[in-house]
Amino acid sequence: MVYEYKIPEFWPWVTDLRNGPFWYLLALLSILVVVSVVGFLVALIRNGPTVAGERTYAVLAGSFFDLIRLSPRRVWAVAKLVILEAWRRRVWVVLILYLFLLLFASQYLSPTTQKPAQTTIGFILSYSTRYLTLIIMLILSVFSIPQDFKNRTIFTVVTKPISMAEYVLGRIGGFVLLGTGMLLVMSVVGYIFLQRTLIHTHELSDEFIQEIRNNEKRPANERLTILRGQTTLDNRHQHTVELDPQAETNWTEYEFGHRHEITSEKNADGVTEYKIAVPEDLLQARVQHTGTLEFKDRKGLRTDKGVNVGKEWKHRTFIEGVSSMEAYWTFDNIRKENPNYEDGLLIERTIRIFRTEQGKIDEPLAGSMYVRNPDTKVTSQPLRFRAKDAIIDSQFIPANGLYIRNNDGTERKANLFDDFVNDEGKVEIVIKCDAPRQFFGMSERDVYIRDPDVSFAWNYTKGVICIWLQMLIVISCGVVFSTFVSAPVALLATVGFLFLGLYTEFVNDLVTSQLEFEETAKGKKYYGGGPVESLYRIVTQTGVTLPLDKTFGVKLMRWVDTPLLYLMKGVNKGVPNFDEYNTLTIVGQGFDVPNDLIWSLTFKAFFFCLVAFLLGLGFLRLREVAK
Amino acid sequence: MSTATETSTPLASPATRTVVAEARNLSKIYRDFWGRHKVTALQSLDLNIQQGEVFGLLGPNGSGKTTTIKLLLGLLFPTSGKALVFNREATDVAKNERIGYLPEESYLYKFLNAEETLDFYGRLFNMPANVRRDRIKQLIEDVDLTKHRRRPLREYSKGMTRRIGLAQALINDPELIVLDEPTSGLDPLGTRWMKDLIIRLKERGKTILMSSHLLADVQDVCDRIAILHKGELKELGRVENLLKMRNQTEIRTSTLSPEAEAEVRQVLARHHADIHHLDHPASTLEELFLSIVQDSEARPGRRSIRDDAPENKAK
Repeated sequence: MVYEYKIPEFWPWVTDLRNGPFWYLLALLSILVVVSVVGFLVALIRNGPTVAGERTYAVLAGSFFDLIRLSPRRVWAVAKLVILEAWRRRVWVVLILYLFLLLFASQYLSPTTQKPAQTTIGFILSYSTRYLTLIIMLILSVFSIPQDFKNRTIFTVVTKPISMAEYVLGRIGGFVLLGTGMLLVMSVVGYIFLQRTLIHTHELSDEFIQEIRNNEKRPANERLTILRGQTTLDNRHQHTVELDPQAETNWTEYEFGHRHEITSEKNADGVTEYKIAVPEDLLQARVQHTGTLEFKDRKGLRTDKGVNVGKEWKHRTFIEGVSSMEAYWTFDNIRKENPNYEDGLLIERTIRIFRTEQGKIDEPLAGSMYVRNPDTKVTSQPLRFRAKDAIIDSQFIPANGLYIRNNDGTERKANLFDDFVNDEGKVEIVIKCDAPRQFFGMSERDVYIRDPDVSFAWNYTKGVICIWLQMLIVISCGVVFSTFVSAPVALLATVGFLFLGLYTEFVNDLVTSQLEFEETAKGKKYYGGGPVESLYRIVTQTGVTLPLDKTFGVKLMRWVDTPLLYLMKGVNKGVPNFDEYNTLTIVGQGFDVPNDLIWSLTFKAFFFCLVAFLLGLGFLRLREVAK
Repeated sequence: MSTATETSTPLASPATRTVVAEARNLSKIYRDFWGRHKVTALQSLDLNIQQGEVFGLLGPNGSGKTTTIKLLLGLLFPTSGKALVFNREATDVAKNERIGYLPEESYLYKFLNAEETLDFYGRLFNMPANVRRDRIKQLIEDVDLTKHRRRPLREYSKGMTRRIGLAQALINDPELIVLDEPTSGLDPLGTRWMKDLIIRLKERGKTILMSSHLLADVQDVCDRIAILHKGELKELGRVENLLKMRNQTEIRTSTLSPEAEAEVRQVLARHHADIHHLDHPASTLEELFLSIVQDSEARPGRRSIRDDAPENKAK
């Protein structure tokens, strides 16, 4: 599954003043203090203490009064100007380009893909809508204010009673409105394209179907006949079908990420006609009810992690086959009263497989699933399954189809809610690997209870909202850089900043690994060092694990590196994790983007936008409009 | 150091005339990125602009007149001293409610048409839609752009651009109108139109601060002028007083007979000619300006002192 980590619930986090919002507020204040001090120091060097003090006070006080006197009419005036300017400079060409991309989309989409929804959504939203929107907004936002300065049109604006806050907000607002409009058009057109591309049907006629099984020994009326054949080639694929002529409905094979329902009826001439419905499971938004993952080790003792088999997964560990090792998930809020669960639980799993014996690489491995009461530890009979590597499979646990093995070896019927769900509504789902010397790997979100799907259109919209949030960050970033540097420099700075945003986790790991030294008997152990030490190692071609002599030079390098690493850490914290906003993969994979994630991303994006706005305001107030 | 002591009697006593804009020991030094001194654009300027007058800033290129305007508008920060407009710091946005500014070039958004331009600036004054609509219609008629109100500004001629620029400066019916080179690039008709407008605005009680290279224009419309050179104030006062040549007497009469004309120099008093005008003759502003610049070049850093100035005569 795409999410390797647990997504925190938004409201408990946001209402916990000691954690989330408090730290964001602290970060905001820290940024303002740092910027004010740096601004004061620069003014001090250039103009002396009196002017520096006056100017810093003027910027801070002026910005504050700007904020409390915001006029929507003036903000809208600037926003409207931005929209008109972009439109009259033919920004709409981007929409035509988008239509051209869709027109030739078939050139980029593989006809043999097993994940057509993921590929098409990726093309429409990720590669076309997202990149076009972000690139055009990046260019417009970084060139806008510098252009105003270069053409001196800002002279006639700031000599009117408009504050810098209104000016910056109007600029950001204008671009956001423009981008929103373009994004809306592109996503609606994209959605129609998606539906037209993926929603299809096939035909099935008698001439393609052969009888493949005919039990001649049985009487004619009891003969079991299976019909096998192929559908017609539509939408650049066809399905294999196996029909039970007695059944009212049949299904095509699950291929290319979907299947079709087949209904048959005889016409007036007595010929069977087959009707194939639109695809199932193609455009869906599965909702996951996730649990908490724990493990038992080889001795059967509880542990947080399984075995590390050497695969570098941060969140995924493994359990060994035919051992006491198990992975178990505790799910809560499992109530009989919930209509979703009254018949039982639909479990979906994605198991990663690590083989110590190769055998047939594609052959599924045996595993078993149990239902267990978290309090009494009463366990159900094993529910066997065969796992393929990284394939989502599902298994239904019927509320009344479970058994408990008594101590005397007999079995008795059990009920899911009466025997396995405790009073708090919690139940444990246990997974074991039954293949000797093979390993199952899993992370917390690999096994979940599947709740009823939400609307795909709404999930698609959530994907678009995430693009919108990315656009908000790009615009804020572009505008704030353009308030104090020239347009090309602002462009480079913004691109660099966003590029860093794609690697925040990597940078964080890198910095943290240097700051949290490994303590050994001989003292602290360094690997690679900070920027200066790394540069030294590159120049001298010294490997990262090779210890350096503790000379004065090395000590000096590390002394210089430490504040640099903290600086990197601080900057990295301020960079929005751009990768986190890429929810389009999840939409493509057919999973619901959790609302908590959307709320949390929205909060972070707006916070970033606020910081950018305040910084932009400060920089503009500090800057002379004329030269 | 330049002072603001005027070479003429003031328009009225300070008690009766309100100071609209004021420079107090105002200096501006341009620095490079590293804070190193590049050029002193303005040095210790003291002047005030009074309500209802047309005040002209004169000076050659680089004399500091545009810098003075930018400092008064808050587009630049003073290195030292104060720039006050309506008794507020020049950087205070609130003062802009009562100001109209026409820059040297019409720095307007070329992709907008005349109506959109005025609508945009009207919104910046927080004007309600109906007020804005009426005002835009009136101004477009006043600047004679009714036929062209829907054309984008990029298609406008220089004269039309100046007119729409002036209209945006007047959108809020300002008390103080700052015009930077208002007649630059205009043909004689356009120049006349602009000067008439300035006079009309003055008659309506507006205060006007203008800078210009065209001395005749300044002479025609300004009540008082300040002449700047290399960032220093060289002369400040009422135009007619500055131009008065006090070491000569001019007698202007009706046409005399040839006999009377021959004798006029000797027997003017005895013949009792009909004397229409008896005063000091005036030079042109151009002559005054050039003499000040030459004097300033010869004696840099000193206020221009003319031998015929009344206070010098008194000494």
